[in-house]
Amino acid sequence: MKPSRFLSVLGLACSVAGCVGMTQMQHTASEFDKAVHSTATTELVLFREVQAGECNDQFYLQAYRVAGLGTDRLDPSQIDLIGGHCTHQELTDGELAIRQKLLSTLTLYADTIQALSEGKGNLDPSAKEKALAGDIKSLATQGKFSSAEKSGAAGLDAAVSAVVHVIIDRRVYKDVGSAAGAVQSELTVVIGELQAENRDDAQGLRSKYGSVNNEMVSALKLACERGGAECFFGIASAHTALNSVIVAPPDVEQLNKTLDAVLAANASLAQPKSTGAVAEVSELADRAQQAATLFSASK
Amino acid sequence: MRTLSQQIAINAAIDAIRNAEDALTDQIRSSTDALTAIKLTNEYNNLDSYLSELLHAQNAADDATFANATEALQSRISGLEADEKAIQALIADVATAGKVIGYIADAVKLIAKI
Repeated sequence: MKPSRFLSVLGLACSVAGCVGMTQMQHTASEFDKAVHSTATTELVLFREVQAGECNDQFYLQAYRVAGLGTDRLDPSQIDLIGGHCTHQELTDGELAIRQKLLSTLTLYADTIQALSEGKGNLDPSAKEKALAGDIKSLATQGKFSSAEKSGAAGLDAAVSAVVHVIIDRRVYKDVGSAAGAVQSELTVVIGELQAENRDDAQGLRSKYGSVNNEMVSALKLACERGGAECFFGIASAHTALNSVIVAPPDVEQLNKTLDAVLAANASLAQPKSTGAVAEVSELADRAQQAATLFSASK
Repeated sequence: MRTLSQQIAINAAIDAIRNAEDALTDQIRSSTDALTAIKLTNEYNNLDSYLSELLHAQNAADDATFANATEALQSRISGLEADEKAIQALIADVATAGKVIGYIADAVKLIAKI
């Protein structure tokens, strides 16, 4: 949506919904907050897909082995048809919990920006927000976000700590511009990490999808050697499984571009032009919505 | 603390394994012999299990987990080399076999560097 159209839509929305007293900055910050939350939710969808992908892969590999097609045979009694037991190796529950905290760093920060735009710089975060920020700070202090060195830039743990500082003590940066400017570099590190994780997750998902697909194709080749009803029903079953059970790898580059848009929007909040940060936040909102739609369609 | 060069090696090994997997998938689809397709699928699944371990190492939240993941990867290098030989025997086209084995050989060298 073009900025000029967004502004007239804003004007219309405000006249309809009664935005008397709401400044442009407050509205922009509110849109920024919503878009960051939406992006974080989409990230969580991806993380869950990674874990679901591993479980599906394990199930169909077991089925392949029960059928005598794998490298070793598995007794039918050992297959979990309900799929309740699954070992997460690529992304364990512990690692997922840490990633959720990384996302919470972004959403709490966006909430802070909104609070600052409403002139609440002298107010402390809520007890719930403080507790969550405290948990995140504790993980960062323990070095839990990264055990890897990042040459030439602040490490991820240090970056997270710096963002948490802005979240917890709003009195340090009393307005949106100075808060946003203070953590632009650190947000770049956090978002860079999320983008790298997304690319790795995509590789894992593609591999798992390929694994199940290949098992279906090769089993069908055997089942269909003589043709007949078994072949037909095998193809129908494979089609159903691949379309409704297995998650096709989503386009993570769209999600990564949304994360880029978070950084661009924040940079614009830090140094707004004459039109404010409207264009960049509008772009972020559009991308966040597109990413959410894309990932909900891939479920 | 893992170094930047270790991270780069892991990322490159992930790419190499994925390239090998994509090439194997093409072979599985185009194979006219069901048993060959099944054997190639098993080789693909072996590569997938290495990929899972590489991603596990990349996602490791602490040094101990990373060290264990790296040790597990390096202890399985001989298995990857065995996969190379098995795949070479399964793919009739020499050029294609060479391409797949090349990717796996790259992955072996990279995993050794981690």
